[in-house]
Amino acid sequence: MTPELMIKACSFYTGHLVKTHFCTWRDIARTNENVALAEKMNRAVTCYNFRLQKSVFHHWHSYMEDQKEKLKNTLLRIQRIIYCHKLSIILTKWRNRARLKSKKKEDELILKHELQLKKWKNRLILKRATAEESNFPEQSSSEGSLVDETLKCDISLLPERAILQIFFYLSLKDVIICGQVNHAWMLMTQLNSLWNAIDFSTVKNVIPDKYILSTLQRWRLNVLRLNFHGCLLRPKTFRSVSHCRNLQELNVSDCPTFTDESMRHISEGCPGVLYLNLSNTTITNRTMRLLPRHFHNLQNLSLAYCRGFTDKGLQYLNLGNGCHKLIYLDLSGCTQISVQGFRYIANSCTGITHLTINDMPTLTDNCVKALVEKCSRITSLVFTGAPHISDCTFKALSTCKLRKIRFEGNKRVTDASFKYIDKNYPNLSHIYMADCKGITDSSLRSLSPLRQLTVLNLANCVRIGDMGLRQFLDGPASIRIRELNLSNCVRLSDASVMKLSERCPNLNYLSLRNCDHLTAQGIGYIVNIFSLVSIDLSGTDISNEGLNVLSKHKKLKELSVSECYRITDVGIQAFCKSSLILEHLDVSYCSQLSDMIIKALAIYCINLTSLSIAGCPKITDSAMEMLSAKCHYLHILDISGCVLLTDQILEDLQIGCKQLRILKMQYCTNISKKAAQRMSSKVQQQEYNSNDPPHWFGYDREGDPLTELDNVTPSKGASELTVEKSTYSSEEQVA
Amino acid sequence: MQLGNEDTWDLQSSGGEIFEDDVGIVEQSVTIKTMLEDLGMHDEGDDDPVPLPNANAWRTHHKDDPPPPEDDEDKEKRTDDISVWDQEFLKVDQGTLFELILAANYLDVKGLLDVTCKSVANMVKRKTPAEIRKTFNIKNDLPGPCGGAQVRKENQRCEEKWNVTPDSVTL
Repeated sequence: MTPELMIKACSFYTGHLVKTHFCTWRDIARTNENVALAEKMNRAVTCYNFRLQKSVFHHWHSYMEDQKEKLKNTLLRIQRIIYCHKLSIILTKWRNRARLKSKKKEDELILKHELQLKKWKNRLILKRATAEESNFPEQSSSEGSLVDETLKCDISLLPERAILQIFFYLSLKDVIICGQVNHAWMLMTQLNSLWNAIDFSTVKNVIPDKYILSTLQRWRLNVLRLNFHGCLLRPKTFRSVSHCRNLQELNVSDCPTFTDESMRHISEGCPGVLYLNLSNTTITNRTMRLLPRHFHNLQNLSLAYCRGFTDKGLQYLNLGNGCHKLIYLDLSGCTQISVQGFRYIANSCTGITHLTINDMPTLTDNCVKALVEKCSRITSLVFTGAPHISDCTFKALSTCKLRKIRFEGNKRVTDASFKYIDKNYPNLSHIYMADCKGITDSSLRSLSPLRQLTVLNLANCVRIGDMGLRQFLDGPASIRIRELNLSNCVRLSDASVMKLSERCPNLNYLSLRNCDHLTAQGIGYIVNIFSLVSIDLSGTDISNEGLNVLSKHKKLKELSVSECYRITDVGIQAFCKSSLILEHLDVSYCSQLSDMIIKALAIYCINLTSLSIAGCPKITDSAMEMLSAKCHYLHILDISGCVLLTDQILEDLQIGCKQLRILKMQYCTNISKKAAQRMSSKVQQQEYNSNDPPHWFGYDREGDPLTELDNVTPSKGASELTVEKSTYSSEEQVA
Repeated sequence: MQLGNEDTWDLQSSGGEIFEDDVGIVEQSVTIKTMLEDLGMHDEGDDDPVPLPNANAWRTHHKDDPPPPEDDEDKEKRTDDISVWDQEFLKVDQGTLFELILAANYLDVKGLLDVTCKSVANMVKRKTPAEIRKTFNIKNDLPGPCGGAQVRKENQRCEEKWNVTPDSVTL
């Protein structure tokens, strides 16, 4: 044994040992590993399963949630559908009922109408029968008085205030007649305060001067107000006015016999005069000299159309204390006043607040400038018919606190006048600038900040358009605006009306006459202006549909649709049906209209007070009979050019429309002169002639429409007529 | 009279009826308005009933009336401008009309007083003395031509003035 062998054997042995040990260790380790792996595997599997489960559950859950949501939605939808259905059922039922009710109401109205018509006819027959036996009516009236016997109502037992109020509405003639009723009534007419105001203008040319004299003498200490408007009196009578020492108001306008001499007596006798109207008299500078000397408290002076005084006279106004208490001054038509004259006025009347200067072509900017220099309290200006006033006037007026301006037909006033309007006149409430062609959209824009504006009249300012009106209405001015007149502002369209309906909660009166760009849509917007009471759509393109839409407003009291050629009976009928409170209707020159509209009016609109059917040639007597039978409140009626109407209607009107005040019946070829004359005593104002309708009415004396060819014939007819007339007049001359 | 809801007043009529009125309606009557102001708006317990005849209906109707359009024409003494509603409202017998005048006078409702007086004026207008007597059922107790000097003078004057040419008078 060598050591090498030993070492070899030893290392082999250890090697073998290591090997076996390693092998066993490896085996053990391997088995161990396998167990752990298996364990891990198991865990992995469970984990995997769990995850799987979770994801499935998630899926399922979201699916279920979805399902649930869907179910809910469908349920909701079903509910909604049911609700809608229910609503629609209710609505249809309600509508049916409403329809039935309105139908019933309508039927009732028609029935009532027919009943009343029958009654009317019976009354007419009775009246005609009784007209033959003259005794009958007296009997019936005596019966009536017997019935009244139970009531004991005597005006003379009323409190004095009410008596005075009643007599305030009676003319001098009625007062005198009341004095003859009985003793109590006579005492009533002797109440002192009843004679505070005496209006002789209502009895001019009827009572002789000596009664005026005695009346004045009797009540000389009670008389406060005297009106002699238009009386032709002797100078002596005027002189007696000077005995009324407490006189406060004197109106001698249009008295041609009133002279300086009368004025002298009055001024000496009546120092307390506050109101003096000398319009259209022949007074001269001498009167002017008296005014400041005797009337220290004069507040109201009208010198309109007095051409007798000069600038010199105005200088006299400064005598003594001057007329500094004067508040109202009217210088209309005094074309003789120059710039110097206005300077005199300014010196003597610094307190003027209301200035009226109409019909004065000579009024220039310099005149106003001279006036404004001293009179800074002017709040109201009326300058209609002063075409030479320009922007300079407005500049000069910037020192005054204007509230109201009224201009008309002035081409020189432009946008520049309104540029600083909100700073200069923040209180402006009333602007009347009709026919001022210089005004454009930018003026309207400048007006928009005026908070107090209530009345705006821009009729005939043709350059105004939608843009300007929109900017105007966007400002605070639109809130209070109450009256708006935009007649002939042809550029306006639906957009403006829409803006009006949005921004004007207080608009009552609106005129859109001749705005022919308006369509049915624009008229639809008008319905949304709830506060509207009166609308003028004459000369627009409105049709039956438009009227149908308008009928939904239901609060309109006044409607004008003159010269709207597309309107037919159907439209007006529909409108009347739902506008039971209609009071004013103008359908003149809508030549398609026939008796049907009058029937509709008679059934639905019995509150009518004013009706114009001028230029409607199809209207016949039977329609007017219906009108007389039903519309008892008619005050104004225009039937000009209704060629089919005969004398019969005047008789009907006399019986039915007792309140008729103004009757126009020009070109009524079938109404006789005699009947018209008889009628004229029943109404206050009447226009009548029986000429052929002029050719712009569009039809001839039979009511047939004129064609182009026919246009020549009426002129011939007219010439014949003039010939006839001339021969007639020559005959007259011969006779 | 007591405070009802926020903007209404309870008014008791003489007949015992209780009206609930808007402040706006109540204030048309100057009498009630001053009474309210005297009481102060929160006072209660005033037991005096205010007699309110059917003036109420009139005031309710005219509560929301828009003001008339502005016109520069002088206000005339016209009696034919009574609105249609008012005319229908005043279609009552004379007794009621007179009661209405009394009520309007007592409550100081100016608009109602105006309109009632206007309709009475319309009954008198353009009539002869005999017709007026018939309308109001009055007896003529004026002495004949041999009566008191004052009356006779007055009568004579009137007759001379008016009865000579009654037809020529057109107003």
